This record gives sequence, structure tokens and C-alpha cells, in this order.
Amino acid sequence: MGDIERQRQPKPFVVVKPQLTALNELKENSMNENSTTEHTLIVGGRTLALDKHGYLLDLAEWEPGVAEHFAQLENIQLSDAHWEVIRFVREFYQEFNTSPAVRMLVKAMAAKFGPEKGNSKYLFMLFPEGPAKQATRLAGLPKPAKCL
Amino acid sequence: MRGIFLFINKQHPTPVTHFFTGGPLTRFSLLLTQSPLANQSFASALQFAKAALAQGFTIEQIFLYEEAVLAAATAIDLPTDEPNLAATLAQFCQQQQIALLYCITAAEKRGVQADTSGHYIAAGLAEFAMRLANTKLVQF
Amino acid sequence: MQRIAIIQTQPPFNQGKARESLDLILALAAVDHQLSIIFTGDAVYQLLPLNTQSSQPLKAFQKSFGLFALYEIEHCLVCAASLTARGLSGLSLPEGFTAASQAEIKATLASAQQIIRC
Repeated sequence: MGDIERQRQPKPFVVVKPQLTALNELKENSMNENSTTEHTLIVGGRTLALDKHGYLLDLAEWEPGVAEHFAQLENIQLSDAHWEVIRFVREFYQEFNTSPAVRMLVKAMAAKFGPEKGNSKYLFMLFPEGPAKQATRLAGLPKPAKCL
Repeated sequence: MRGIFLFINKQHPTPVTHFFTGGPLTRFSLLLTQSPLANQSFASALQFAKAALAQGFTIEQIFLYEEAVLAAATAIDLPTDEPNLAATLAQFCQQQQIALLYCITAAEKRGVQADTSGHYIAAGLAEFAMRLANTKLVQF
Repeated sequence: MQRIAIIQTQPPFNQGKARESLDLILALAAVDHQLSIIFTGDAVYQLLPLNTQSSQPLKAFQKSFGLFALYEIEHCLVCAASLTARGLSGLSLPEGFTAASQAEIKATLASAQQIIRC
């Protein structure tokens, strides 16, 4: 577990998620833009650089402690289901070199785990503020494109 | 290969007919991908849009992608004696109530701050793709 | 939804363009448009393995072509004449991509309802 210097306040927990549309997703994504101040993260005694959105700058630096730290920041109680998605998006990045946006994540999850897990309701239950946005952050990937 | 692609949509869902020709009433999507400062693509798109409306057609969307998102940059300060095509297009779309959208990801990549005047609407490729259905696409 | 042909014309070194056309393809496919992707001209260089460690840094975005299968984009044509003109006729194409004659490309374009040139 680590500590963030000059971190932003944890966001209030949001449960209600309206149906996902392109515009909802857009609004949701633009809500929590971080300042351009440079952040760092200290996990397991190592100082890791973050990008201006608060995502890990170098995904090779990732370790499970990073996910645990971001989970705390984002008010997420990590369960096995969360870890499954985190591991999945990391594998996805290694295979396709791209950080999955929501639709992409839903499609890919459906292809691998079937429709029970490959749907946005399930993913929003785990990551209420945006599964792609939050899962990729916890997994140490770059922030996914907003517009997809 | 350069230039405008205009392809006829073979099926049209609504049997609305054109007041003059009696043919199906076409809805257009316009896609702009080039810088408003570098060439005449904005001028051509504007001319096309005016002509289409004059003929009784409708325009579903004008979508700015790639370099064209520069048009939404409010910080661009053109000398007043140079034509401001981005502003002209925005004004036209406002008058005609045409959705003038730009890709937010392409804009952020280029440091374009969101247009606060509300003339250009931040959108995503997903919205472009959805609005594209049942329209004819013309690319500039 | 519509049958859309997307013509790729840019080399990988025009990184922004190549990346943005990929995003466009995925966005169109996500809302169930039926896509055909045509690589022609210098765009065939996008299919070469990249040296990402060279002095010209490039992101290996080609790995993302693997997403085409996930999005059920099955029609990926590579202009055979463009390959030959660049001495690449022996190039082994990524899975799901096929070399196509001018006539096949023409037929694909003719059957498309929309065409986007990237």
C-alpha cells in the first residue's frame, strides 16, 4: 500500500448509473479531469510516475499494490471479480496494444467469459464510475480514448 | 482517389419524398478531416451544405475529425481580414440547426480546448457512427 | 446498418492518421456497420513488422488490427498491385487479411453504401 503526494480527494461513491450512451459516457469521462500537476505514487517503497490524468505512466512498473492503491482512491472494495477484470484488461493491452474503451471491454469480456460477465451492467456494478476508465487505471494502463 | 466521395444509399427507411424531384429525401452526413487553415475543405463543405439545403435535402450532422477539430479551438486568433471558415461554418450550423460535432479525443490530442461558445459540440466517434445510419456520407 | 468501405492510404509513419483511422473503424464496427477495410498505396507499409526501438519511435499500433476479429470485421483487403510495386509481394499478411486484385477492390467499392478515405 502506498501514498499519493498532492492527491485529489476521493470521489463520492456513485451507485446510480444511467443506461450507457455515447454522450453519457462522454459526460462521465470529462467530469473528473485532473489538474496538470505532476503526480507520483509510492507503492512498496518505489516511487512511480503518474500521467496528468492520474494513470500510471509506465505500465511495466505495475504491481498488484498499484491496483490496491487506486482502488482505495476510487472507493472500490476489491473482490475476485475485480481482479479478474484487472487481469483481463492487462492481457487485453498486451495482445492489442490499446487500452479498451467501454464498448470494446464489454465485447472482449463477452468473447472470453460469456454474456453474464460481458455486459455493461455487470461491469458498472464492479466499477460504478466507468468500467473502462477505472479498470484500466487500476491495471496500470493508459487512460482509454474518450470517444469510443 | 482524392476529392469527394458521394455514394448513393440504396435503401432508405422512411418514404419521405423530395418536394421537387419526387425522389427519396436524402439526409447527409458530412465528414471533415482536414485543417480549416490549410486548404479549402471547410469552404467546400459549407458550399455543399448550402446547396443541399437549398435543394430541400437535410443534413444530419457535420462531424470534424483529425485535423479538422482545430476549428473548435477558441484560442485561434485570425487576423480580421482573413476568412474565418470555422466561424462561418459554426454560424451557418447554428442558423440551420445542424449538429456540428467534433471528436473530443482528436481535439485533446491536439491541445484543443473545448469550445465554450457552444457552437461546436464535443462528441465521440460512436455518435458519428450512430448518426451515420440512413444518411449519405460526403467526405471533405 | 450500412455497408461501409474504408480505404487506408497512409503509411504507418503518419502515426496520428493511421491511429485515428483505426479508431474510426472500431467506432463504426461497434454500432454494427458492416465494414470492408482496403489497404492501398503506402498504407501497405502498415502491415510490415515495425522496429519500435529504432530512432524513429513508433507505437506498434498494428497489434490493434487483432481487434478486427473481435469486431467481426472479416473483409480486410490488401491491394496486391501496391504490394508488388513496393517489392512486398512475398509479405505474409496478418491473419484475416487477403491480397486482392484491382477488380476485387473495385467490386468491394461498388457494393459499399458509403466510402471513407483515410
